[in-house]
Amino acid sequence: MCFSSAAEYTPSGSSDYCAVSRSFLAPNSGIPGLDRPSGEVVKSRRPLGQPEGPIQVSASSVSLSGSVESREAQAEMPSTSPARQLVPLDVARGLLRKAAAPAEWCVTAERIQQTLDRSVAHRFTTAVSSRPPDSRAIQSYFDSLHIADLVLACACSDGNAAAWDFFVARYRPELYRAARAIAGEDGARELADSLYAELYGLRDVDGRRKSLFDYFLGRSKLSTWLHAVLAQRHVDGFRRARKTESLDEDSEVQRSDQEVPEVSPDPERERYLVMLQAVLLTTLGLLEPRDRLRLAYYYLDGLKLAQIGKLLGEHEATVSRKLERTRRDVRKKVDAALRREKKLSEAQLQLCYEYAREEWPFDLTQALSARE
Amino acid sequence: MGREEDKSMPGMLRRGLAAEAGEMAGNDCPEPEILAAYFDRSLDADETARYDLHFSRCANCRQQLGAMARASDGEGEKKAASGWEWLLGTRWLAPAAIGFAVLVIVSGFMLHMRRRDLANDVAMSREPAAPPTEIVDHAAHNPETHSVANSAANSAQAAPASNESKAKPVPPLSMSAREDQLSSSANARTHTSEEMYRQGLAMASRKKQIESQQAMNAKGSAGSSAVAANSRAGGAETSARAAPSAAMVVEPEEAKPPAADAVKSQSKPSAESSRAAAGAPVASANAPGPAAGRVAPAPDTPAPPPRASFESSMKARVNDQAAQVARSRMQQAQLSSNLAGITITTPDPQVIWMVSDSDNISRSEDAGATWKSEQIETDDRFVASSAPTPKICWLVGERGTILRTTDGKTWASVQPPSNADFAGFSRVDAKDGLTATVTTMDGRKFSTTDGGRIWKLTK
Repeated sequence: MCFSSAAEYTPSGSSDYCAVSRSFLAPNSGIPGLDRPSGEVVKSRRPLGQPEGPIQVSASSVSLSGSVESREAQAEMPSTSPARQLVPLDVARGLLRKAAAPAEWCVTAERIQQTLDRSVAHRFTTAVSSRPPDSRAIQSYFDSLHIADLVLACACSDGNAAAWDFFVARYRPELYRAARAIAGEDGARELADSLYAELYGLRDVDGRRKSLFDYFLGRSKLSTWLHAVLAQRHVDGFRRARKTESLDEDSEVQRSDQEVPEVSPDPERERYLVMLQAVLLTTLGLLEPRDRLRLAYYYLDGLKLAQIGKLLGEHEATVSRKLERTRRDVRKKVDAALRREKKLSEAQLQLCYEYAREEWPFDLTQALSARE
Repeated sequence: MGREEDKSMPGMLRRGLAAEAGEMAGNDCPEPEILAAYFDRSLDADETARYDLHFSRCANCRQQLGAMARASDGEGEKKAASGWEWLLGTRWLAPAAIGFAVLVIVSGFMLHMRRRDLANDVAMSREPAAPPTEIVDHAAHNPETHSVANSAANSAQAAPASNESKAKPVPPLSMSAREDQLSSSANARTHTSEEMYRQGLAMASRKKQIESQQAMNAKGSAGSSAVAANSRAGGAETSARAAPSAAMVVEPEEAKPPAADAVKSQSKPSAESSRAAAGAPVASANAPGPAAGRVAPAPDTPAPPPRASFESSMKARVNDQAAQVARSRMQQAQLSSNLAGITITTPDPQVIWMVSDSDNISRSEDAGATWKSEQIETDDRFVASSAPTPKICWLVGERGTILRTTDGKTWASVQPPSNADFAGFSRVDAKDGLTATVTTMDGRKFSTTDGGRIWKLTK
């Protein structure tokens, strides 16, 4: 049901718009996920959308459906339960007005207030400080939120038909396109379908539909959030499908390493390699996280320069330049360490690198193809 | 540094990076909301650093991020291409169109005004066809010279009136040369009054020559020198008035060719005045102002000076507009290229910044002779800059890029209020570089008073 606040958002005319249409059917060719058990463990949360009076804010445990076992422990958030609401109603109203959502979506100030409370709680209770965040910080947080997207998510979570029309028209094609980009042609359909079903809200928990939209807290664009959810599901599914502990190249590297040692019985060679690896680890560990991240994106994940740039907020040319700089830096430090600490001579140094090249060949194209 | 090291580096790096990762599987990994906020760069500096560290060691998260990068590839490119082209198309188009319209309107207006005035003058004038000899004769006539000197319009009238043909010791060559010059510039003329003006012009220049000769000839004569002085002053005044007239006369010529050319030609106002000067080769255009002022009040023709100044001010405005259009077009072309050199000027004309590379900014303190390079962090496209003092400069760009320097040397990235694309500034304080208001592409405004630590959404 829609409880529109007095003046601003009374939908003109009928209240049909505001009715939650539980029989709303997605316009695509069926939702395969409807029959399939979702197989996720969903922690019960406090019911949303109850209109009477201010809602006590207890930082809800926002756990994600589909999370891997170890994740659930992390997803539990400490409930701090401040005695008052963090977001005053007039602030919520102001933000709602700013979002300029169509009246047919029937998003009330109270509804937004609840979502904002959750968002603020999620943001600020993960902080170390025990005192409630000051209003300036909260205000600047609000300024950074994508309110319009948040309002849409609320409306869709409530099952509002007009909002769903909007979502379907605007975001659904994007969802499927992104799924294709992430999972390739084969898995895309299924990935997107399952996500779509959950966004719509299949399960009734405590008599209320539960939609994945409840997890959107407005800190990013809605489209980016959808990508993130797709990405997480894809990677999780990938992992489960492969039935390995971790998806690191580490396992592959180990496997390839295990094949090799028999070929090189030379103890000196082993010694050099071990030394080199130790120095490498130390040097890499001392890098700036960003530089290390850049290297990892390039060498471990095989991302393209443009993609790395997007993730790090850098121009493609800068990524290339910084990679080069970090490489030079690492080499200089490794050289210095091998010379100084391990007391290697020039010739020994050369030999060291020669062994390394033989031992750890790096074929970028190979690494990339191993990705999919 | 042998080639061995180069060849071995990739494998070594891969090995080293992989070996360390793996312990982090799933312990500290953030949820999609955080991943999305990280991707959109909505997290604050502390959170970002924390997650940078986590991601550098967690392949699981990196894979998700990589998937997100893939997902946004197609979306981003499509939007950026269309968005940027659209922006590029309209951003310079609007000012250019406005400039064009202004030019058309102004030149039409000026033509209209001129026609009206010339029609008035035609009513006043007699037959205009004065042969060169008459002009010469008239100019020779001293007593009449004085009266003529008081009004350029009457000069043409007087010219045909004086039919005395007195021989004058005047080199005919220069006169005819002058006539040739004038007539050639008058080819487009059809209006009789225009010829009148030109004749007045020619007469004024002729008079100047003669007067200088007279001054030489009649040295000790107070009377003649007085007359000469008067004539000279009058000539100066006439020529001063003739100059704007000539300029005015020259203008419609310019307005006729397509406006695009007009933009180019009018963006150099000096060229015009030089043309006007060529048309009226009177060095006495820099005549004593007070003298001209004294002689100036010509009751018969009060119109020319005010109109001339009005038109010249209109012209100046049109020139400015055109120059601005040309400048903004150039700037836009520069801004559209990510690596182009963007010049940022400061109140001190000697101090300039230049964004010459995607993460390199140079500063000059001697108007561009020497440059010092300053490193900056981010590399998204810069869209706007504001330098209220030679030492304070703000830069904003896409995806929440804000940079600031307060000492002219070191740049710091400012945590943006959101990762929106920024478009410019509406207020930047010159006092201490702490206060600024930035605007986003979609029209939101954020302001800070503490150098960007806290931002407020403003109107």
